[in-house]
Amino acid sequence: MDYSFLWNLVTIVIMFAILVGLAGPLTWAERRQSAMIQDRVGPNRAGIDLFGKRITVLGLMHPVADAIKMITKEDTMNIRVDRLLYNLAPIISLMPALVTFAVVPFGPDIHWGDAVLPLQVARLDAGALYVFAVSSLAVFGVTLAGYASASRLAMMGGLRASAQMISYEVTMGLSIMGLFLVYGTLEPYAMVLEQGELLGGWLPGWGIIRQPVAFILFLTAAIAENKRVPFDLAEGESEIVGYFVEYSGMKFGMFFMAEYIEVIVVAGLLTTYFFGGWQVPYLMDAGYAGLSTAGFVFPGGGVWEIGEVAATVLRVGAFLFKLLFFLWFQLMIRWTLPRFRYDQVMNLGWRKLLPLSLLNLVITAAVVLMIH
Amino acid sequence: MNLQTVLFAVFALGSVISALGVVVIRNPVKGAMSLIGCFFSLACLFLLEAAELVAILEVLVYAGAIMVLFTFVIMLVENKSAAIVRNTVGQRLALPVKLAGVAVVAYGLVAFVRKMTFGAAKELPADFGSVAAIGHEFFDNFVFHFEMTSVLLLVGIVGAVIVSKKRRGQP
Repeated sequence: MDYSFLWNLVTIVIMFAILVGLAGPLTWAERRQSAMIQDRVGPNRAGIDLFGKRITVLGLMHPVADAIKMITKEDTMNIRVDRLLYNLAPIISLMPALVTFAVVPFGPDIHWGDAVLPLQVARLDAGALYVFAVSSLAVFGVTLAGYASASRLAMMGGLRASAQMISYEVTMGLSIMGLFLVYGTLEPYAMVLEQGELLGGWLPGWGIIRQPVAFILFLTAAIAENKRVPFDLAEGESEIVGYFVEYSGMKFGMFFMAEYIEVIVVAGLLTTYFFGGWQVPYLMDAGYAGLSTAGFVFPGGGVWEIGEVAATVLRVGAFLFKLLFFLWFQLMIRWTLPRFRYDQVMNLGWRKLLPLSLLNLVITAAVVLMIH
Repeated sequence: MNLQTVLFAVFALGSVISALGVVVIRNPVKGAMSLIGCFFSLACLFLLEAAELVAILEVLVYAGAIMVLFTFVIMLVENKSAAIVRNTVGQRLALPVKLAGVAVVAYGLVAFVRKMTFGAAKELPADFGSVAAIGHEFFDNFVFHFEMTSVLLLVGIVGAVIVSKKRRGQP
């Protein structure tokens, strides 16, 4: 009996658990974070009355209350909307966000007897391109929402948002191409393996060290793609009329869910491309420098064998730690920077980031050619 | 009947129906969505043939880039009360004429493919369709064609710039 199909299902469940399980607490974290930065108390009221005491768990009941509110709210709809496209738009927004994570490896392969169990939903030869292919479809959710809403404001918002997303997609793609050259592969798992090498015998060969410019470009483009501050002029919930102004209830909620899931996806991609994925610095596999099992080999000469199981646990933990760090980092950016003006967004995208990413690619190609 | 056959049938049917939708549907945005559905089904068919890269590029380039521009332009220029929804004699005739045209083309294609002779089937290498294999084909065997394609694209860009540029003295 071939169990690989069952294992695939298990990894898919793990992936959705990470995405959907983190998206709710992330909205809470964002509010607590903003409250901390703005010297407020933040959400702390919603709770369950139990035996005369109100249980609020630091405001963690707020995401639950939000979900209940969204689902039970009246779904108002303008009579002139294009029903098919109007209902399709939130789905098209949410779907790419949910499936992009499939190529992100969240741990090393587990060897169980003869079987190899990958901690990755899909190991595609062109995995990094898959990410772009799927995420480029998210633009349709925005344009359709603007078009189908039968509202000029939503239409303008949709055009504004999609123009921004198209502009930054180019930079995003070009910034990753340098990494393809350096790693010599398009497959995220192979990229992570490549980053386990030590440069000069002591420096972990993470993407941030090999391609620092690409990291900044990718991060900027990813935040712009996700339409978050400082690029949030597509939505800006409280001040700007965006493409989803005609949506209410859970359909509105789906746009927001998509945004938070994309924050998690961006964190996963940053970890995988630039911060060694599940790699722990100096933690090597058996066979490296005479190791009989997985263990640490420190550049000073110290060796500490910890065994396969401990190594796997450490590595999965390292991936989750990096993921959480980048979630926190994105929240920090959101509540630290002011919003750009629209012409500034376009200027930055086309006149600064795009030439910079091309330059980065050319220089990387030249250096790689010289080394080989 | 195995899973692959079932999937092939589903996506083949899906691609044909969505391609028909592009011709038949009157709302241009819905037509564009139908075309995206068609590209998606085609990509799935490529996946069934183990041509991962081609499938991904199909979605990335056609559905994700070209069709985005299409919808963008349609949304910019479309006037909702335009003649598209007017019910003229010509439009009532349009559907049968379109379907007849599709039928003729389809018949011609089938006849053409039936006349074609294929060489003996040979086994493809296991890494067929991988990025490395296609890259080697491009840059080892077909590098001239590949570079000529980029020249063609460059000509297209130059042409677009010239067409959109206003001549001196003209408004």
